[in-house]
Amino acid sequence: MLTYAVRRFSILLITLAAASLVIFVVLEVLPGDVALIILGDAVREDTLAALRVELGLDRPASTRYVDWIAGLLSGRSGLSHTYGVPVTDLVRDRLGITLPLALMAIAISTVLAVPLGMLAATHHNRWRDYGVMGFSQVGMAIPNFWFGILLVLLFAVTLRWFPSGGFPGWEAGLGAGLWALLLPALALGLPEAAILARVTRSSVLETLRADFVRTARAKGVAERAILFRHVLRNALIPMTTILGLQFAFLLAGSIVVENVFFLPGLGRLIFQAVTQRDLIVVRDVTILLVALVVTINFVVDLAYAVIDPRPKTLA
Amino acid sequence: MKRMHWSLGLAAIALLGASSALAQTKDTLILGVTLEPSPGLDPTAGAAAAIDEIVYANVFEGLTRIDETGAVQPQLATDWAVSEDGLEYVFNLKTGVSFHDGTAFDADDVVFSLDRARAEDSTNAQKQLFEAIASVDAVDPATVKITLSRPEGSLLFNLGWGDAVVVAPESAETNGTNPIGTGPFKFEQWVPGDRVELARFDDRVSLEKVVFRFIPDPSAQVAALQAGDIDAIPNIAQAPEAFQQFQADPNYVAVAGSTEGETILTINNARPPFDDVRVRRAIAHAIDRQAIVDLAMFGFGTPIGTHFAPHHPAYVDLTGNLPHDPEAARALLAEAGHGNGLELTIKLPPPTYARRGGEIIAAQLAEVGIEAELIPVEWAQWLEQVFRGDDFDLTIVSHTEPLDIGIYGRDGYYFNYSSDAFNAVMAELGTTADLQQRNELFGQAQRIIADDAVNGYLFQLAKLGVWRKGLEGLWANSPIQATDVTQARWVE
Repeated sequence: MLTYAVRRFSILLITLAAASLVIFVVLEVLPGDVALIILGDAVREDTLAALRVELGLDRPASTRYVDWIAGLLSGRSGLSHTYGVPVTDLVRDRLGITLPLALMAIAISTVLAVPLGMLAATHHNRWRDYGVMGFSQVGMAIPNFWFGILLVLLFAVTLRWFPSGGFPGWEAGLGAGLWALLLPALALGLPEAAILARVTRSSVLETLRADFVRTARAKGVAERAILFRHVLRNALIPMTTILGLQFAFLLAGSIVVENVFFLPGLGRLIFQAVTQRDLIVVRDVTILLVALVVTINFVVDLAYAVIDPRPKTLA
Repeated sequence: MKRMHWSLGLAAIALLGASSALAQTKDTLILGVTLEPSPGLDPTAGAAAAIDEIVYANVFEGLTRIDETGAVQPQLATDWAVSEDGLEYVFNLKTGVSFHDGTAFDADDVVFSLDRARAEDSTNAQKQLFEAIASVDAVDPATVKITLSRPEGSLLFNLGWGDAVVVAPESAETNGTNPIGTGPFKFEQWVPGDRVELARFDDRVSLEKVVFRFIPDPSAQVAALQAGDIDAIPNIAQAPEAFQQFQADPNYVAVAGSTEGETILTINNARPPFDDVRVRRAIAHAIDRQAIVDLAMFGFGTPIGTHFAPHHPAYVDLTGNLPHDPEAARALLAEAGHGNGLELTIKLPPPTYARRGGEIIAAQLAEVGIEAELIPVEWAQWLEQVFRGDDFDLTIVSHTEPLDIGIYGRDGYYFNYSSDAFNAVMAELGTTADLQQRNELFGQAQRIIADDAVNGYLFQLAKLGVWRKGLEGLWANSPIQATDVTQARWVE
């Protein structure tokens, strides 16, 4: 077990080191010069040179890479060109929006998708099934930015129940914060719900055909108990896998949705930083996300090892 | 029954939300703007219009200021005297003025600010504004003398730019994150990605609080205005179709004004076959300006025939010079040896006028046998490839600096045009002070570049402002990039 954990951990470290190099090189060859973007088209050559010195861009790439890694290891991040504050400060504030948003979206999609998927499976090839599948087809086809605009038009412009976007800050109270995130979470979560409903339907259908279900029915177990105690629990495994995968998609989807609802989240931070070539922010946030993903994978690997002893020998 | 409870609950929550939206008082102004300033809020450290659009005139002031009509007005200087030879300017300064942190303003701050902007290691994006200045001296605390090395007809105008505002030595380094100026509004806070808040500093203004909200998507800006989350959109030219719906709505004021943005189809004059004036004239003949304005900008924008703002007194209407005439275009192309057609690329930066205008221009060029490939680029790429790298055939861009026809005389400027006749006119302008004569010379310059068909001249970009009824004092026009809210007030 210990050698397994150590081996997994060294893989994590190697992945991180490789990722940091890839990120640095890609950003290095990306066209666009931050000094030129800051100073604009009327700038004189000497001014450009002066700003490059000020931003430390005149130093060789290898020095800047080593500085960056040393900074990361000692826990200090670079200063954003755009905001003039440390990237860690920016990320902390932004995560406080994007993370709850993604969690709400997951909650919405689960709450919607699981009952709908089960309904469709238990009414296989009848009108309820067709209804759910129709909804799911439409839900998958609607792009979430467009759905977001529709939600705003109905609930913010016409009914005036919700703000059209923006975030009041958690200091305005938990209720106000959640209220502001509800429409974006819906826009983000509904297309996900459509996918999840399909997965739920097919995995419940599959489990319903399993031998143990027939045995349970033969034993005379109530249909409701079969469905919830036996079928759902078994069907949860593929659903959880999809949910986990969706979390990464939600982070990406938040770039679009945060633009429509002008939420100051992580997605918008990355998007804005890329267009303004605030590469300090781009590389720090990207390596953070990479670290997040590989750490989660590491934890999952360990969890597998605890639950099921087989991977140990395979590793 | 269950469904009833659920909907009642939702309605109750909705009422709570609605009542908090109504609690808005009328001494606050919330504006929706597209871009967040970068880097920071210091107008002397970056070229981004988004910086000036928040702090110019509101937080920072210069010796002079540019008003809504583009005229020069006194600001921190109350008046000035110019020597006979035009080389010495003596400014009398306002007294009793202080910066937002309490530091007193005097002549030393002016000397510091201008010396800092034109210093060797300066990172001022418009350093060339100060090129003619030889020295800046404090005569006494309320008097400043600027000595020039050569006459500079536009010095007073240049001093009104956001890049020339007066800052204090105590706060100059931190103005990016905590801007401290002498303006009637002081900086309150910047919530990155969300908003910048200003608060009233002195009684020159009637608003208590001004909030600039960053809303990147134009349709989200429209929805925010309609939902009551913001009060005004200073410029919605990115979505001209939305402007029309506000024009028809009595609850809003929709003002179509002008800007200094000459929107042009830039031609790389150094790259064959565009070094041939006949090819450039053929392109000009192929373009139907009014159709571009109508289709890309929903009719907002004034067609231009040269690189000059139509509202300027020196403007010459040259739209009839090389009118829309596909026949003439084909004939010129044949004469230049491209009778069998011509292939070229147009690089399109992100703004609406470029992306939509490009589609229409490509169709118009196709009619005369020119096949145009459209290449969308980001601003970062545009600056590097087109503006600095000269790697383009054609591009579409709006030149927003006021009175910038001088760029046609600039060596190595990205459209690579060079004309002795034009340069001679510019040289004469540099030494001419008489307004009548200056306008005459500007007219000559406009004709030269129009005849040479240096670029395809499309239209003057409009400023499309929309705000809630009852709000007054926002600018209709945009002579410089600014959102001056010092005169804004709510009336009922």
